[in-house]
Amino acid sequence: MYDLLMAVSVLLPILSGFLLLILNGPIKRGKHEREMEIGVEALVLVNSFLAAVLIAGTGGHSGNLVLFRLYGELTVMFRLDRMGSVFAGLVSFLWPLATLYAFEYMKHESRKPMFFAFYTMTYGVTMGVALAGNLVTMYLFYEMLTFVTLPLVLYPMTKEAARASRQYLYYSIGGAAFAFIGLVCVLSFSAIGTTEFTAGGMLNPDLAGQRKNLLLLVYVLAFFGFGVKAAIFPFHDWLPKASVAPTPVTALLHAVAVVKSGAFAVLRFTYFIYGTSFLRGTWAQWVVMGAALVTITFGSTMAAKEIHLKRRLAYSTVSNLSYILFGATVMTPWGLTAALIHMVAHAFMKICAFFCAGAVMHQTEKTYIHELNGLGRKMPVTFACFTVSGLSLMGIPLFAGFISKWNLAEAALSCGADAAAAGNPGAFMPYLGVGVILYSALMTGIYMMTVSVRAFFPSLVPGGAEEAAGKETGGKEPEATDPNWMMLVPLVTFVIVIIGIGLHSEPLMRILTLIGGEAG
Amino acid sequence: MIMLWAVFLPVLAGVLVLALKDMEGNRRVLTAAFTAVLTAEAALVILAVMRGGSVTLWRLTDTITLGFRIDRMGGLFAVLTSVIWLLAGIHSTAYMKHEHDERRFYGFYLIVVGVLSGLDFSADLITMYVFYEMMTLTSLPLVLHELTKEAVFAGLKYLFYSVAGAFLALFGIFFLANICGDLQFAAGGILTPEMAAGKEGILLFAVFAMIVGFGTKAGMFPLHGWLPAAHPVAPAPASAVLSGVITKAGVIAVIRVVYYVVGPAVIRGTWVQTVWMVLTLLTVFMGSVLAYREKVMKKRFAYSTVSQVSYVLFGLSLLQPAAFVGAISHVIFHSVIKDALFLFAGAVIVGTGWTRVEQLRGLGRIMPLTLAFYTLAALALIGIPPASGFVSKWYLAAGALASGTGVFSVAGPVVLLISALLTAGYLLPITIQGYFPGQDFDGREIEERNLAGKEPEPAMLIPIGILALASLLLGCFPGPILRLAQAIAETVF
Amino acid sequence: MSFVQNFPFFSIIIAMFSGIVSSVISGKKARNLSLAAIAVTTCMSAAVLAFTWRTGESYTYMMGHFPAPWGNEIRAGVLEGLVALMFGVVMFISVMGGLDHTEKDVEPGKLNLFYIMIDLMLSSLLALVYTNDLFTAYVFVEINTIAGCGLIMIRQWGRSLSAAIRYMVMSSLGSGLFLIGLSLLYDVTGQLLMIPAKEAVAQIAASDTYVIPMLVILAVISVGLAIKSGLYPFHYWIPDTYAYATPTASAILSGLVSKGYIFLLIKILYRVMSPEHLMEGYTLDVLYWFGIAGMMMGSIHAIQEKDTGRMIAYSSVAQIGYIYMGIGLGTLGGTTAAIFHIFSHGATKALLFISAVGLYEASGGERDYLSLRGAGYRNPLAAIGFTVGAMSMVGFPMLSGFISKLLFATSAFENTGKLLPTLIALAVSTTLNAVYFLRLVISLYRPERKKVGGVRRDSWNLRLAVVCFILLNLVLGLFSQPIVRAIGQGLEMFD
Repeated sequence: MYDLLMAVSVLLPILSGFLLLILNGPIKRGKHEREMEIGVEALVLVNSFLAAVLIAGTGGHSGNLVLFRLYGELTVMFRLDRMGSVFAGLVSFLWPLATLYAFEYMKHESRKPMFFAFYTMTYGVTMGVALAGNLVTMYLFYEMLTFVTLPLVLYPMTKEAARASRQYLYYSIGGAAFAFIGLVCVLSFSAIGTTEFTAGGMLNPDLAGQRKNLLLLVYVLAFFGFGVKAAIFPFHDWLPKASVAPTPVTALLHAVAVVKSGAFAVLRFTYFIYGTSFLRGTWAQWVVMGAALVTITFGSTMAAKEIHLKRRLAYSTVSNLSYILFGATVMTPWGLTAALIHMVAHAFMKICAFFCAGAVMHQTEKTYIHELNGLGRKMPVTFACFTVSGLSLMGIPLFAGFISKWNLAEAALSCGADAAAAGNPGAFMPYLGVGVILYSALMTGIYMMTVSVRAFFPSLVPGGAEEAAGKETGGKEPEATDPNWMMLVPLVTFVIVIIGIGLHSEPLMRILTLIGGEAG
Repeated sequence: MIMLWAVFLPVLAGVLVLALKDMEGNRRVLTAAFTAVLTAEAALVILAVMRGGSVTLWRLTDTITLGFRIDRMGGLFAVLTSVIWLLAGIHSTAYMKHEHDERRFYGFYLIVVGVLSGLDFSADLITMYVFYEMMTLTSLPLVLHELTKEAVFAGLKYLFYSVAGAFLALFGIFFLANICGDLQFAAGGILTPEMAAGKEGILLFAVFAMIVGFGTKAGMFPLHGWLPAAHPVAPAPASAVLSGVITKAGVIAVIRVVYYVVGPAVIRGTWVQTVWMVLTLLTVFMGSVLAYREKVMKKRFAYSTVSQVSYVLFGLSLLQPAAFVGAISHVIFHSVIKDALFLFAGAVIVGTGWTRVEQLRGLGRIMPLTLAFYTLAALALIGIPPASGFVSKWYLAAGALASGTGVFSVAGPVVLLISALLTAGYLLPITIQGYFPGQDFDGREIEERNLAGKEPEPAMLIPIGILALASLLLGCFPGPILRLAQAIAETVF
Repeated sequence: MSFVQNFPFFSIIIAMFSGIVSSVISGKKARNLSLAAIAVTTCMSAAVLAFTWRTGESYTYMMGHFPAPWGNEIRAGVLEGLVALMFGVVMFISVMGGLDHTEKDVEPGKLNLFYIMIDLMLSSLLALVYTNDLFTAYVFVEINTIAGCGLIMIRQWGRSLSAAIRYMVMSSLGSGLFLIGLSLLYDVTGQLLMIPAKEAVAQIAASDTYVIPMLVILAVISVGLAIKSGLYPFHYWIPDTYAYATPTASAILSGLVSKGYIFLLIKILYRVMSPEHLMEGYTLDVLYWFGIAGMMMGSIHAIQEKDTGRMIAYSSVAQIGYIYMGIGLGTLGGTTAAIFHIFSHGATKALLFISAVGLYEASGGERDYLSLRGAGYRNPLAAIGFTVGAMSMVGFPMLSGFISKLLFATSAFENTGKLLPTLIALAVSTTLNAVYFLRLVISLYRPERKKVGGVRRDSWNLRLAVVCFILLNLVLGLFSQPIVRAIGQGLEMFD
């Protein structure tokens, strides 16, 4: 029964999205909008509930559900394992909240049915990535994800949006094309004849041993291929550009669903296909680790340079995603655990920060950081949430970000020690990685805290205080306030989760350690 | 339990003050409550230190627990902090009358002392790191208080230097946690050579990163740039505690790392010690020179802090018991003295509005008693016997000579001596010009503004007096402090 | 001898005769006759496929009973049946989809001429598929050229005419080279039928004589057919030819005609020059590298192109590159992939051309991609068709393009030396495909810049064609296994 539930939780949102597209005409012109919103939210909630039942019911071990056979050994198959449960749980937790937020955010926009249709479809597709039981299925949903999220990036229909969506598309398809090489290669070297995910890898050791360098090269190509969605340098550029999309999209998709699918795919590919024992200590490991480190440095530096709030957050995402990839490239059980905890923690932190940015845009239509002077006084809850997410992103203890950075650093140090003990020339890389993480944490402090300081202490620019005060008294613009409950509920929930994970991460860590243990 | 109260009472009280908007209009209640909490805090800390003990606060993850344990070192710092905090607090009730946003100041002022107590009581490196970060964040509003452009830039500078330092230190914490597993403080260090086997190079680098990182808060070169910017822009009582106490948080962090986790034996004779000594001596010298050349009073004191705190760090870097004693006692003496100096500055600013040194000519006609207290403190800082600074510097010099660090055992005392001369050079002119403005002095301003003989109000004067007298008396009767410091030194070496 | 075995011959003859009959009847009747002929031959191809599949072996069929070396022979196996079936299906849908446009574009009096050309094209394609002797092949190559020219020229428009002339010149050059190759082969081996020719070639190869002549023969035949099928760098005739013909002609020319020559080339390579012999020469390597160059250059030209039709045409250059790359791998898997790509590309490219026509219609006849902005809202079905086609081109799973990409990639593992170039070329080419196709797709769904006047709804048959091609694509993408198995079996029957 649970097996069928997997298909339901993937297909239900996709089909409902299609239905909504068909019903587009009648809903247009402002009629039945309320009904549509309630319907969509109910549907998303039901689906999340199903996902919860699924995860709780199977406890992270479901059977195989083969949907159909694509070609030969390539079956489209769902299977829930623990790692999939983590991602599926994360997505299904965030989606209803983000949808709620989106209703309020999109209140004044047109073409809502189309927006929510694709928004909902993306839910299903992301679940598909999480529940995929083999590489082919994941590849399928990975490609699909590109296409269902494309209309959302294009949504503003401006020239900028078109350019952004084009770039997004080229990068994603290009990435998938290289990931495809990995897929084919795995198919040829698989020990089990299929591409089913197997904890600890599934390459045929005899065959793979003969062509080790080829396989490593293919691994690097596929890493970058899947890494495109996780915005790895030099294929990161689409992500900041894509922040032209409405904030619910940027927040949920470009901080969680899409980009995490990329990172998730890399994790799957590294730990469940190749297996770390094959990769550990090879040149391929150091190459991909180097790429992740460069991305971390680059992303956080660019974020500090950027003056547009959403783009700044997007660059921050670029760097944080590579934290996850860095965890993946550590290639130890602990590395996987650390990558996963950062995946979870970053999801909450970044979606929270984006939603704050969105709330500011929605309430005041301000998008640049220098426009935010003194807004913290007027929107205290929003900016308090922003500050919490900023502190957490910096990795201040008692917040979720600290837990993940701690684990990443410790995993890296252990990895470096092992490599050094084995006399591996790349042993300095993990140590360097810890340094890079800390550098990036400093940059995070700069790019997040300046925003908070500006918002709460407006005098950073000449006349900033007067400007803020003048607006209060001048009354030319309507008074900016905190947004209504539909936006605040998600924000506050995220903050609670961030602090909750920061204070009491043990239950979560226990699960993640288990995953690391079985797959590393 | 008492130590929990000592940490959380001020924090809760501070949050309450921040939350209760109605108190804005009711100054009397506000200051009364503020003073009461500070007094209670001082009492609680002293009680807690007398009782001792340990407590586990929270399990953050399965490997990280947060906990408090009071040992002599932490107790010493905690008592020092809370007492000075009380005195500066009393001063601030008078000073803040002339400032805006009093309530916010009091709120954060209270929170910071709680956090500092937590820092001092921490039982392990990670708890300490938690409170260290919290200290940075909660003291930030004190720096930002004036909300001028200068203040906000200084605040951001403070924030980023502190955070950069903390993250540098975090590298070391990551590394030590990785090889030690558990980072509970124990006198003399917990690191055994087996743990670090094969990773000595990185270990040394990590220790160095931690020294430089935590040294940021203590204004150690090369990450000292924030200090002269941030301290002077804050309101004077805040400058006093920032300079006198919060810099010492950096010191205790370094002590904890070097003497309670890594152990002095590990770094003795390595490049880390050498570089550390060079850095501290450089800071000592540079700070004095800059202070000498600085014309703005509070900035001059701030540069003086840069130099003086590095006396302490130099003492620590020698890894030698006598120098250690000197360092610990200099922590106490410098806190007392520097607070007196900054509170004096606050009194001058409130009383006359003068901020630059050359304006202070003839100050003796306005506030002779205050200026006398200043002179006492200044003499103590220079190290004129029998005032307190002499004692600590004596030990530092003696320790340096006995440390067997080659050229440094001589170079150290020489630098200290030059710096002491410079200290005299930048502190004493205020006294001299104050009392003896000279023939050409034009006293019209004093007469026009009717300032002559106007001592500051008691709430300001008394703390200055207490601190100034203490700086003298502690020098005359240094026995208890030295004995305590020696006792600590015996455990860590 | 089973009756079904006559079907290949019948279908060629039926197509031929319907062309002849069409010349004396009216355009409408010619149209119906043509459709009927295509339908019947397609059913016959299906029957042949079923028959050979069941018996599990191929057979040869002599026409005119001339003995070797001059005879006219037909050979039918699983592969021939399958290719003929696919060609028939694509042709039928293309003709059906373009009915209205044909009537609009072609002068009323010349309508039957158009359908004569279609019939001739059908018969020549079928003949190229079924033929077992080289001379018949040459004859039908020429018929094919003439029919192709007619199809282009029938739309009497300046650019069509110049395109037709260019096509004529290039095709004649190709045919000429092919003919020279044939003559040389005949000279050396004394054979024109494929089976004896192969034996003769094997003997010559074993005796180590005629090394240079054999190489020349191979090169000349390959180059000739490469020119005719538009392999880069012999692709100059392609863009105008494909882009400016009527929709039906575009779909057929791009989807089928060049594929007929490629199939012929595969046949010659495997049935005359044995693979073992080929592996020693460089011919396959040359084809392989030119194929890869075509993949890249075709896509790059397509990216630079603003006119939608020419863009799709340049994409064909790239896709032909794929096919030659597959052949050039020199393995069974590579050839299988190439043949599957013939199908896949036929279905997809025809879909793209047909739905692009729907988009032009909705944009006031403008064809550059800026004018097509917002066409997705004006003609949703055509836009969906185009999107599906584009997605198939970039290898979206569940569509046919994915399977061909997969086959190319997996087959590359059989040839170690060419593994990495193949894989990387595939990835790069996919990315390039995405650039020009999806750029247009995004454009389709952007709001128009100015109001488009005179939006014409396209006809039902065009829509039906779009739907059919989408389905065909899905079938090839989802149920490819039996097709691939059939290709494999068919290739085995070649020996």
